[in-house]
Amino acid sequence: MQRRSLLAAPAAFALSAAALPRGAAAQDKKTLAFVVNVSADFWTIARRGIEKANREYPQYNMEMIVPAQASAAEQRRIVDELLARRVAGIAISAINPGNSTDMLNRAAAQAVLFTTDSDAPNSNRAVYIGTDNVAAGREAGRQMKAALPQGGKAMLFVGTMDADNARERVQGIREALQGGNIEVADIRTDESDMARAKRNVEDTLARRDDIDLMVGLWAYNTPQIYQAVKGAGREGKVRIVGFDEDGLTLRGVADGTIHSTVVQQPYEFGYRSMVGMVKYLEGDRSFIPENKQIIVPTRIIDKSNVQEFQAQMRELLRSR
Amino acid sequence: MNRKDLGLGALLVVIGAITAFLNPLFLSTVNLLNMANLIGLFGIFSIGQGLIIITAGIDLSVGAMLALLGVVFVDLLVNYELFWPFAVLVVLVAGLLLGALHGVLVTRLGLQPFVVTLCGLLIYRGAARYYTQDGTMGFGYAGDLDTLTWLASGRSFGIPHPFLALLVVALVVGVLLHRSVFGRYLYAVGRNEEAARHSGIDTRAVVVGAYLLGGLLAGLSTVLLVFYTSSVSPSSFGNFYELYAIAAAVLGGCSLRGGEGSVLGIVLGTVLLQILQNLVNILGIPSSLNFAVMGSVILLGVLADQQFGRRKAALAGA
Repeated sequence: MQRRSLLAAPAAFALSAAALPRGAAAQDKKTLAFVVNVSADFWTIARRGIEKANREYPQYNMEMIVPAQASAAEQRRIVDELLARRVAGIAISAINPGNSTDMLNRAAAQAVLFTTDSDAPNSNRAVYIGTDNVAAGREAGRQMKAALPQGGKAMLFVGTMDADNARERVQGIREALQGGNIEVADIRTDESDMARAKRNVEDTLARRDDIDLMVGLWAYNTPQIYQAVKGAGREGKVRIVGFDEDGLTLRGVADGTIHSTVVQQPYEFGYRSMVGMVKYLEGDRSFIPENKQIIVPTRIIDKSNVQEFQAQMRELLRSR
Repeated sequence: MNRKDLGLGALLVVIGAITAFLNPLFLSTVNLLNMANLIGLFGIFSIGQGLIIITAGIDLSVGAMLALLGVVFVDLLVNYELFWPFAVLVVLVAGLLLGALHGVLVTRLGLQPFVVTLCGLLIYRGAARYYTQDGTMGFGYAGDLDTLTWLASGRSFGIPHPFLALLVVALVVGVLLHRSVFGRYLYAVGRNEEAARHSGIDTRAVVVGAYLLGGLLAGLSTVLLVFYTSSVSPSSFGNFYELYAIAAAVLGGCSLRGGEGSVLGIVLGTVLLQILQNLVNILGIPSSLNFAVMGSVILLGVLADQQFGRRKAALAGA
């Protein structure tokens, strides 16, 4: 018995310590939560957008919640806890939206529910604010064509193919390449292990010299491609198109090894979701379009605009 | 070279030959050097894991330690712009301290290694994520780190430095384990701690020593791994790596009950794991089958080894 109570003591302490500030805040301020899928720089930029919204609406308590693992189960636990805390609004990047309708509807019944980054059109969410990943894939497909006008073979790299955004981006790329002279030779996955992401590229470079183009679908894939291609001395011979705005990706765009990268605007996700939820709670729903989707367009970063963009990102990431 | 190492070596040759037969590029210089690089990266902390397993302990926290030390290391270099030898020193000392902490909790407070290092896994992973506010730490905006980059990920005489580092570590630890008194004590403690204590060995010091070395080698691996990926994502960096280390050690003849194992075996175990991952890519097997291929070959290898051993024992008995 004594042992158990000793073990319980630190747990109880931790709980009360965690609950105190939240409990105090919940009484006078409404809380808006932004639930993401996994920890990444991408969300650090979104956090900056949330902070901006919070400066504009200080009467709300806005927080970002990052799950310990990128699993639907973990996210469900987080949402349940948020509902138990009676938060006023939740914006969520659902990990497995197709199979999370129940959880999302439960949340929508008790609070304002927005989806961001990955949509769940079958749920009762008020609105989706984020990227259209199929369109982003098509955009990347066009960049691939521009990088390789004479055609050739392309290899795609991604963390896992069971993620919706990976599937949709690939779908978009295939649509854009349809009927053209670029063939997708294979898609290699690394289960979010960066070292394996790099070895996948290294092994591809060792195995085949007929690959003319490599595409990194997730934020960390492109820098690993960049480094492996540089390490093998195949810059210029193997063209690279990427997604997202990792520091190394931008460096690669600047030095010409990477043709271009398709970036989303996470800052806008964070800012617009929070401002939107505030408006919704105050009864203004005019910003929600008919199809309940607010698409934040992607941008192409290539040699022409990379320097300005680099400086901007640096500024956003520094002020942590 | 004992029987287990020979068996593992034979398995390596068979798998290598089959892969090379299916795709001769497996034996190309580029591919072999890439693999040597990865063997170096994974082998170093696997040796640390092996030492701990020999004392009948286990270290589940290696992967999380890599992440925590990794984010601190990148932060020191990029944001604090600390002169790199100091940053490397900080990481090595931090590794030693974490190892010492595990050792003390296991020996002085009598906690089970599994529990201590499982808590370590959770705490370090959490600390790494808190420290970075869940952001990725990378060299994307870093200044001039050419010397350190070359040291950690460059090549000399065409050989990748992580592999050379592994050779040095394997040699030093090999002498320590197989030729020194400390090594003999490690086996003695792992085989029967009680008996070792009664024969006058300071078993606590020996066990702490194993955890210290494990921590130091994890620190060294951190420096090398960080320069392999150039960025550290605190939630995924090093995930699962403790299991690669344990698998390499066990494949290499370490018994989870302690008292058995050799440095050569652990290195060969690492080589096998890396070949298995390489052949999935080289033979163009779908990435989704990566883990399944690894598991199947290991299982077959262990089965064959056991059957072989049993027959030999039966022959010896008859």
